[in-house]
Amino acid sequence: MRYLTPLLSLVAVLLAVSAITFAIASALPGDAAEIRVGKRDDLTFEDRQVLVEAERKRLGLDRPLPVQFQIWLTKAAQGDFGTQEGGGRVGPAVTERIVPSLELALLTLLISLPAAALLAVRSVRRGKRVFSAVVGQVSTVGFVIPQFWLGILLVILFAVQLGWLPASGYEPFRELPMEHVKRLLMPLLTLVIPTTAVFYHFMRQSLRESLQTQYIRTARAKGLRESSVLYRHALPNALLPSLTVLGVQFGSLLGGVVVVERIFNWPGIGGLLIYSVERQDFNTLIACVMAIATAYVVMSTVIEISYRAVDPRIRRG
Amino acid sequence: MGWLRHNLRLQIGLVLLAPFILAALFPGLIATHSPTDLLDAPFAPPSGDLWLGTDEVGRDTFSRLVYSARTDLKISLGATLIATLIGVGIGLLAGYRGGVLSTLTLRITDVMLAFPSILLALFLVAVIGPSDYIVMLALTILYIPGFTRFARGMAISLRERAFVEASVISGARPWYVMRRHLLPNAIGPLLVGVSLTAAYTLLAAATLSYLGLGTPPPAPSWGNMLQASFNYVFQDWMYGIWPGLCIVIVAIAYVLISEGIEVAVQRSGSAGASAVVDSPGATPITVVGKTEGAS
Repeated sequence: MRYLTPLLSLVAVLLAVSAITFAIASALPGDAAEIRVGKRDDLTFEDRQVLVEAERKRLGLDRPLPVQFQIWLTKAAQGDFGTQEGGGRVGPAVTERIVPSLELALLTLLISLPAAALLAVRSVRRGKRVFSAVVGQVSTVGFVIPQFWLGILLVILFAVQLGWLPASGYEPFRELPMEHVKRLLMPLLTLVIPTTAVFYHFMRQSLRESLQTQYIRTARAKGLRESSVLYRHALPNALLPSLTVLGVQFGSLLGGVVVVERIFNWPGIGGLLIYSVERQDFNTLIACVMAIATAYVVMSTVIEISYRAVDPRIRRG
Repeated sequence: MGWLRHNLRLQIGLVLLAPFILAALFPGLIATHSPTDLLDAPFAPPSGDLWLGTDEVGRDTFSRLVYSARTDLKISLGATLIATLIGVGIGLLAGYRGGVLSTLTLRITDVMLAFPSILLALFLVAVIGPSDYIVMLALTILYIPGFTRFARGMAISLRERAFVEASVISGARPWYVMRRHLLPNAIGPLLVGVSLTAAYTLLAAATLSYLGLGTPPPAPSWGNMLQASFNYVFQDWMYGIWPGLCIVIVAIAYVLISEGIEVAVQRSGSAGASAVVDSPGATPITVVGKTEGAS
């Protein structure tokens, strides 16, 4: 039963997000029918209106909004997200674009979390005051630096000055693995630096708190080595609060991915999203939003469930 | 001014912020040229007259930086203050009254925090068209939930305290209790959150400008200067340094001020300090993120 509540709230939040998106998107100027009929200078205004109305009827846009939403929802539940403006299915298009985005987001977490944990443990060690102060200041800069500026700085350094890496682009991993990695490095670094800074701040804080506790005093009193005290006793307890931060951070990471994709021409979901707003492509737009929201909500649900599994104090709750 | 003495963070923060406030208030006094006039060839190098050289069409880069301060500070401070007022108002009421209102507020903020934030801005800009005020509105909506959650948590923890109960028993009306007892006790951590949020809104506004959704050109903002610079990074990479530097300095100033206030609050040992839950800006989130407050 304890895993059921988070799963139910997952579904509820996704429903709410899709309803809101649907409502806002229908407020966008112009609709699919207008766009499909096009400009038509050869027709009078009234004749064109007749065409638009017919198209609306064909697309079901003349129905009340809740009915449209219900129809969309029924189809979406079966994996059918409709067609894009200008042909092509929405589903495969979005799936193809979400993979590179998730690659960036997940690799960032995979690198940032251990890096932040190591830095935090080192900086709470005794006799590491200088190290702690330096890392502390650098990490403050790390989380106020705008990601797109960091990206530009990296391009200036590695592409313009040193000429080591291509400034932007994408190659599929299966065909050109080395080229793929070369183009992956700068976007990844742009995301890893601020993310590590945020995690570091939280972990250092909770490590300091956990070092004040009785069980750490006990561990030291029985003569354990300092590294054992830190890594075996303090760190696992300090990691728990960081888990909740992870959920929120994943959301903003997805936002950051949109920006980073733009800088480095990375063909992810962000580009498709901006493009679909510009082209008023309703079906693609709502599918993009749902993809991003789903990634975020699934991540926070996984975290919540693992939180319950890891922490014995709330396991029975 | 006792709160300022021996508070290095606050001092440095204010000193860093001061020139930018001046530039925002009186750009005409500081700028050496008009921000939109064509003065020289594109990418002219720095000289005695054009301190930082010219941009891609020949406008004075330094003067554009100065005029951008007004745009960027206006958006970030405006959005932060409006979000604070609305968010704290709703949060205090929800936390103090409790019941359905409280639960409902929590659920609504949940959904708002799960909604991809960049999208809201995209929608608003697509529907109404890009302008400073639309960006401000979008950012305000984004940051309201953080403040609501913070104020709600604060009100819930203060509600049970003896001095609040005493006041209620003596017949104080809810509005009086909120204004007289809840708000003053929440003000310290609230200020910490406000200045942190100012940093995030600044970054978010710059990010939106970078995506082409912010201040429409030719009006300068640090974000759209950076966007322009990125297209010419191989011609003149120095161009991309200055606007970013301005953003980072102002953001660091906000963060230092926030940390300085935190120190001041802890020192003064006010009732608020013992009731500190979490500041609304407690979770530092980069880019177009949301502040997640006390949950």
